[in-house]
Amino acid sequence: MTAGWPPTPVAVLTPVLPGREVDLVGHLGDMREEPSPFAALESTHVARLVVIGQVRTIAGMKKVKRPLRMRYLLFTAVANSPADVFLEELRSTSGPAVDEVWNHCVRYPGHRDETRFHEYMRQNSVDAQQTFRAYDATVSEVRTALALRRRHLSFARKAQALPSSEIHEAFLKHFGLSAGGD
Amino acid sequence: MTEEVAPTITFPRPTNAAITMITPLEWWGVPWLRMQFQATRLFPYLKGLEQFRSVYFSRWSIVTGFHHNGPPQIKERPRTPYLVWEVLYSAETGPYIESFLTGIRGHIKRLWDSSQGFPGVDSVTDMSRYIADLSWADSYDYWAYRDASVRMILSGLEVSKEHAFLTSAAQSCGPEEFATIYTGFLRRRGGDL
Repeated sequence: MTAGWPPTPVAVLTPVLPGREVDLVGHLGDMREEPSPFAALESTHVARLVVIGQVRTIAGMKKVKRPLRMRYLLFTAVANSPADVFLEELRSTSGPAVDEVWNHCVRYPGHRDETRFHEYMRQNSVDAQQTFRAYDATVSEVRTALALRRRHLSFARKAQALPSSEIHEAFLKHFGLSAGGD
Repeated sequence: MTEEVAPTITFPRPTNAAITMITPLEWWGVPWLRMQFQATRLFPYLKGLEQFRSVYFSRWSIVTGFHHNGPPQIKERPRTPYLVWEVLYSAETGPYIESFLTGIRGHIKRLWDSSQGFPGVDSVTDMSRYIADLSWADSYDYWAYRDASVRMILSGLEVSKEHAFLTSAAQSCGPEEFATIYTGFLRRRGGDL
C-alpha cells in the first residue's frame, strides 16, 4: 500500500487459452470457497474476475462483421496503490494463487519471473478514461470507521436512557477512556 | 467461434453488487466519449454520481483492440470499439437503475448515446433490459468489507472525523459541558448512526 494514495482502479484483460474457458470458470468458482488471495493485500478494496466474450447482438445493433473469437479474462480491482505497485504486491504476496488463475491465459509467464510478469500485466492493461470513487479512505480507515460507527451507535442507544449528568461517565467507560486523558 | 451470448444475469444481491457492461459503439462513439470524459475531468460534477450514496466505485474504458501476446492467441481486430463500464454499488438493482434514470438521465444519455442499441432514458424497463442483456456476471469477487454499504462507510468516515474531538472533550470537560457537546454531536451526526 502507498500511504495516502487514493483508491485507484486497475484493469487487465488477458486472452484465455482456447479450450480452457470452462476450466477457468470452474477454478474461479472454486476460489469462492477458499481464503481469498486478495485478502492478504491490505490495499485492496475490491477485486473481480469476469470472463467475457463476444457481446450479444440485440435490437438496434448493427450486424457483427468480425465477432470476437476468443474469451478474455477481465481482472479489475480498486486499491490504494498505483497499478504497478498493486500488481507487485499481488505477485509477491499471492503468487501461487495468481498463477492458478492466469495459467489459463495465453503466454502468461508466471509470478516467479518478476520482469515478464509485470510486462505481461502492463501490456494487457486497460486504461480507465473516467473513474468515480465515493471516498478516498484506505481499507484500514474504512474498517476503523465502520467499527467506530458501530460503537457510537450502541452508545447512542444506551445514552438515550441516561440523564444528561451521567452521559459523560458512561461515554468514558464505553470508549475505555479516563477523565484527564490518563 | 460462433457469436457468444452474454449470460443473462439475475441481478445480484442488494449489498455489494457489481455490474460489468460492455457495449459496442457507433463510429462516432470514440471521439464523442473522449470529449465527454475530457469534460468530466475539467468539471467532475458532470459525472453526477456524488449525489447518490450508493456507488462505491465506477470506471469507464474504451477498448479498441487487444494486445497480441503470441500464439495460440488469435489476432482479433474488432470492427467496433467497445465501452466497458463497471460499477460497484450497494442497492437493489431495479431501484438503483430507476433512481439513476430519474436523477442523472442527461449524464446517462451522454455516456451511452453512442452505444449501439441504447434504448434511451425514458423507460426504466428498457434500460434495465439493456443492462441485463449486455452485462457479464463475475466468476469471482473479493470485497474487503463485504457487508458495508456505501452509506455506512460514508457515515462511519463522518463519525470518525468527530470522534477525536469527542474523546478529547470527554477527557477535559465536566459532565454538564460534555452532555451539551454530545447532544450537539447527535444533532449533527445522528443520521449517520
